[in-house]
Amino acid sequence: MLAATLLNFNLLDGFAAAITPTNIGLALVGCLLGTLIGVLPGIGPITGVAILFPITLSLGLDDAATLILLASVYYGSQYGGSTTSILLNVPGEASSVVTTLDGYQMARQGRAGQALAIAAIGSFIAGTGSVIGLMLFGPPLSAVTTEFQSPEKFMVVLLAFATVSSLAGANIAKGLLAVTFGVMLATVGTDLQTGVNRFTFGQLKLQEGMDFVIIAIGLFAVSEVLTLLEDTLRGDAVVFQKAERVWITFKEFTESLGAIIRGSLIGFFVGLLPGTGASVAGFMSYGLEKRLSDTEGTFGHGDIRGVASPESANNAAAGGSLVPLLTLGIPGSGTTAVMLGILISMGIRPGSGNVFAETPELIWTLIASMYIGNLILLLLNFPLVKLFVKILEIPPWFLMPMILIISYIGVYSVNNSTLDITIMTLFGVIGFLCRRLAIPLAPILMGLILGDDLEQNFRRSLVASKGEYSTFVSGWLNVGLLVMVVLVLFLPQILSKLRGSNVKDEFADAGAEV
Amino acid sequence: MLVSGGTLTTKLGVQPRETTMSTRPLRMLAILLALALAITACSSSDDAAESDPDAPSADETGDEGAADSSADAAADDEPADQAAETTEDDAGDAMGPFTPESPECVAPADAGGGWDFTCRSIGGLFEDLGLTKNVVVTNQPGGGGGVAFSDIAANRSDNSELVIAASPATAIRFAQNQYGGLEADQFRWIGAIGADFGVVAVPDDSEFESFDQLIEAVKADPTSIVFGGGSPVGGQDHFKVLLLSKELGIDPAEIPWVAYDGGGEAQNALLGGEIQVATLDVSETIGNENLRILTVMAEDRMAGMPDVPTTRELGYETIFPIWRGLLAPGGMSDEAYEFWVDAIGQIEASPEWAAAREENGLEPLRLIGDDFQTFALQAVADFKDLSEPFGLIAE
Repeated sequence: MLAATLLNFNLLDGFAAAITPTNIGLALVGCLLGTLIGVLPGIGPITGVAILFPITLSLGLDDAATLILLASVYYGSQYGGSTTSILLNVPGEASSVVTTLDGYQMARQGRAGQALAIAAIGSFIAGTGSVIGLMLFGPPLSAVTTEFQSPEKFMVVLLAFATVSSLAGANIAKGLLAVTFGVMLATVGTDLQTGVNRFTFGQLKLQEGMDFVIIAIGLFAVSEVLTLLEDTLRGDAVVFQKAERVWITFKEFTESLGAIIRGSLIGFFVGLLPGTGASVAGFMSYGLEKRLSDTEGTFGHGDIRGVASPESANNAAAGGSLVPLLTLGIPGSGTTAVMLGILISMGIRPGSGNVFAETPELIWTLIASMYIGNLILLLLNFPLVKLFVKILEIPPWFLMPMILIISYIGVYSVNNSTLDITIMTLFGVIGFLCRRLAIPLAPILMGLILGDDLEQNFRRSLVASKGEYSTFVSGWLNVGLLVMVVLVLFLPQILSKLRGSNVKDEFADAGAEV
Repeated sequence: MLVSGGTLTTKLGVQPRETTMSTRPLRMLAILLALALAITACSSSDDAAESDPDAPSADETGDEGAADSSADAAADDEPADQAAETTEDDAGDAMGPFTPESPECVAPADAGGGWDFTCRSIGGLFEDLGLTKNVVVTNQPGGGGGVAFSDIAANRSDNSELVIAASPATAIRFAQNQYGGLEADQFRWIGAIGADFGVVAVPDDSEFESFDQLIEAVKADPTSIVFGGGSPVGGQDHFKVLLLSKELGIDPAEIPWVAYDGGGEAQNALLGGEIQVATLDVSETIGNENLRILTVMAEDRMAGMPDVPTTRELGYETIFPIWRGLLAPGGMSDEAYEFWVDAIGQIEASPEWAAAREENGLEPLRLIGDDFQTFALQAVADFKDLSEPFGLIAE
């Protein structure tokens, strides 16, 4: 089956579709914008993808072009995030937190160029590897999901909720709280099984439920501006390190190759777990690499492998997390949750059908464009890294209102509705409060996107089984999924054994930001 | 933009933030970038404004203005409409009968659905057949069409250049008072041309070989067989079951119904054995080898399903056409209404429409003008009767 998949050459069709001047142009624009977004402090991939989505809608791009642009932004922002981790000790987004440990040390020793180069090369190799992995695992797994009925679908969503609440934050209770809040938001709108409108307060717009784009922009972009505002008022200063020339020697490359390969593998398989994302992969792979290779105690003091490993892992995880996303419809991170919302709004419903078989052109174009995006990023980053870092000099008094303006214009342009603006602002405040209370935001979004699936599949199962709860444990698939749910809830304990102790606290901090 | 940024010579190093000189070009770059984004973001709303025919064009102020005042006074006030016509006759002789200057078709949903199809296919033919200028399609999603209907009723009810895509789902939602208190007779129903039909489907290895066999089983124990479909309870697919059960004298509340998110999901559930029977549409099921279609809820057999008997053939009254049609704001002038009715009639008779219809699996249907108005209001009344016992009529 695997060989058949490879021989199918679907990816080549995808490349053929992706390689048009417009699409390459979009990938280039997306990579550039993404890198800028990743470099900007505090503004991560989720914000980038979320605020750009309404704008791409208004550009009237077709579905494939929209996906290419947004996927490029996603990838670009991952790269951009590692740049600031290395040069400023400020991770642009959660998945590159661990890169600061050795990356910033290297920069202080005047080896910033090498650190940036290995991050770019490692990411490229890992990204390429994960595309291959996605080709191998995606189609066969997706074929299995067509067997899923409502009880299985319910169990899969439950599994995703269990994973995200146990891994997204330091505190499982806060994770569950966030997921539950998201599920509550998902109950707004017309209920399929009774036809009754719930919590719509007479607003016709709300009959179709809360719009995830608006919630995402509010929760992430608006609250980020509020958080930045608070930080700026407190006056946190940052110190730049120089990067004169971005290149590495062949020796440094071969030295890091092992770390890159191990990081890629760990990253990809962590990405496969439904509900886990790039930041977890970075920490796990750093922890493992440290145990394996840190014979001279150089890790944490500017070891190039300490940059190569997590950077490869978080990139591979981004690719790996597309497997559960495209097959089960389970996003692995906040960004992929936003991507799922976008796919659903395009009428592609991963998890309730085999997207590889039903809309192959779109899916393979997306995958091919990821690969092209990786290449563009590698080529972009070497000459342009200095320019990207300049972006950091944009003063917050200019940057923050600008993000708000783009967010508000974007949201308003979706439906020309002032209600949307109000909802977005409200969720900006909620997001800000959550950040201050260390309640992770990604599970809220996931709860919102998947909450309807959880509830409807639960009730469908019971109507179809005429009220027999045993329907949830009938069949090996259900039992297997249930066992995984239980396992996952204890995964943090298992993970903490795998990780180094000093990474643990960092992980807790990063988790709160995801 | 990047080239201008590239002229920066400042080194990366410990550059204090206060050096405004070096950051100025960057600010410019950021401003440009943000402006570019902002402009692209705005462009859609600009488009909407441009396509908004509310603003009467200069050469049309004669009839448009008259229609405005009459409809504002009272949407369905006949004498006022007459007055509007008289004014038109006086001023508009040189211009001939009513022709819309900037015709618009509102699909009250996102692109890609049935209403969107109606606007794009029928709307396109208005221009192709030389009946109107280019018909601008506006997608106004939300509330199952409610956002569009309430906006049009509140702000554009006197617009004679505007038509709205409709289907039985529209009638159902009017019946269930889901459009914020708007009634079906507050709109003018132009015509329905072309229809899909409901089907009753089982998996091809099902115990039910015929529709009669299924009906016998349901009659014997209404709770024993689980039905499902791609609409909410009280939606199109569920109404197929409700109408049949009403005819058979079975309490429809006893028949288990599982609602799926679209016909595709319902088919998966049917083939996976979660439900035993699915009510779907001809267009959704045609060519699916794994399904056994027991009956088509129509009078005559489908061209694409010549072997499947219809409900009428089998001796049942119930049919379920999913018609594709257009309606218009209630304040549309009689002359404009006549124009649109005549135009949609010409489209129905054209070979171009026949081709588009067949390509999309629609059967012929011609219900235009008053016939359609009567039919639609009757359908709304029927749906209302059936919705009531389920508590589906909104307060």
